[in-house]
Amino acid sequence: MIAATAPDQRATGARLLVVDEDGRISHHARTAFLDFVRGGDLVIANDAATLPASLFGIHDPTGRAIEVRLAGARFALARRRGAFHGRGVRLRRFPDTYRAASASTADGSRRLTPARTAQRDRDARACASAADRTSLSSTVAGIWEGLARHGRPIQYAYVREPLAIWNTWTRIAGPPVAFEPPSAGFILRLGCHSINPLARCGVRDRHPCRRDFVNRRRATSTHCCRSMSRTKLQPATAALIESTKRNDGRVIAIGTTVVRAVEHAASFDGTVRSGRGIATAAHRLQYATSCRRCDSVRDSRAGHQSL
Amino acid sequence: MTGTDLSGLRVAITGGTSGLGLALVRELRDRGAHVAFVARNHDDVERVANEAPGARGIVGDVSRKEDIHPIAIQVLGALGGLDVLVNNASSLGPVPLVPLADTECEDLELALATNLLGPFRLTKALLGSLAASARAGRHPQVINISSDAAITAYPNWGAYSASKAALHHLSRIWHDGARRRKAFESLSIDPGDMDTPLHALAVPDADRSTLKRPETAAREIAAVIAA
Repeated sequence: MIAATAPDQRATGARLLVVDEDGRISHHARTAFLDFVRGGDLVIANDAATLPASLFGIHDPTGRAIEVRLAGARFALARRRGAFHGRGVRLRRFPDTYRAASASTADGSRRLTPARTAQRDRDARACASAADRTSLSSTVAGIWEGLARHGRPIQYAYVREPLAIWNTWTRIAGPPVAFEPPSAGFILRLGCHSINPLARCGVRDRHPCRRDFVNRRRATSTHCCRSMSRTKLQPATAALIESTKRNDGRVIAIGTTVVRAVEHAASFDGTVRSGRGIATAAHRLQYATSCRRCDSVRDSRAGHQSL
Repeated sequence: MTGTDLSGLRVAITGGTSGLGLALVRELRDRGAHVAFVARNHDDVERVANEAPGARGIVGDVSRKEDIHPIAIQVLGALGGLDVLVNNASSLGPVPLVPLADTECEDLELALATNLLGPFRLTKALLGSLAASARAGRHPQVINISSDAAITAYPNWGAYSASKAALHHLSRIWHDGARRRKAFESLSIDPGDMDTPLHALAVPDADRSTLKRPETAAREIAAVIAA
């Protein structure tokens, strides 16, 4: 595989790699995705919008530049509580009110440990250690404003051009809760010849997008689950999956996050359970995994690789 | 939500610090809606946020592409989702109004950026959240504030009129596509000639007593939202 080098997630010439159940490989236009979806299938997509989670600042002890990448559940907690604290990092372009009090968490606020501190230059490497803590103190509104005004999308090293925030939002992007772009979601379009993520989910037979589907595909639904390795599968999604399986439909999970979430939710006994979980590599394919024939559909320009 | 009670409704309003936008902020907030409003001037945003506790002010310029996603992020951060987007911010173009032949290209560009591209970009950025609102059965709406100048070609109103005509048409196209998929409702609303700073700029010698109060228009729009 060749790493993607351009931030354009919506290239009109993007292709689909399709592997059928006999192992035959064919290439198609990305917009042909729906041609491979059958009536009764269920499409599950990630509707998380991407946060500008890359912040540039000054490492107080050394005075050197640092990039801090927000990640993890503690940040999510902090966003709700209005502050997250730590020590040692001033965010360069944040107003003074956002600067860290260099020390402490004496007020009992939550700490955020940057999951990954930038290591793209010597200055940053010099600062990177387990002891570094990021600190933003403000109201909830202030933190949102600071992120919106001063944050950047996390830049993949293999993408040459700077990522703009609009490069990272899929057409179905909803709540800004993802730290990295849910890239496979770019396969979904809102036109009438593609899946309709705007439709309501629920009882499949009432699915309003049914009449929009080319070739009268029935009852294909989209639903959402979020976050990175921490996942939350909605009860409605779990119910739709079970219903689809009972009716011999296929469950089509789009993207790594969604695949992991569904795998994890079904990892106990094969029945998909709703709720929160942590999808790890332990839930991925492994030696003990029994093999089954399946079709595979992949957007060859989405995600982290191009073919 | 019954009658004109808008409790729990999540609404974003652009151009929310004066005229109709400000009246909408007050009206919808008083009816129980969770309101986020957007305007360019920091001091004005702060003033209105202080006047209307609970309403979240966001500094941003919808005519700037770079501001759209930061606005969207803050709206969603403040409201936790979105049910109604009111694209109200408007630019007259050249002031005082001049014939089209005397309109600078840059003035036309600004009017189009504010009155057409901005609403389009912001709607697109928030489409996923409106979709989530639809999935939750909350009947999302996008309301584009229009004008009779969108229909009637008044002399000297070239930049404003052309941009509002385009916005009106855009609303209809959004509506047809989105309604077919039961996704969201797109409305183009002409509130009438109001006693607002924008109108005063366009028609400085107008008899203000003959103009509709923006509060009246805000009540009418709130009724449309609640219907």
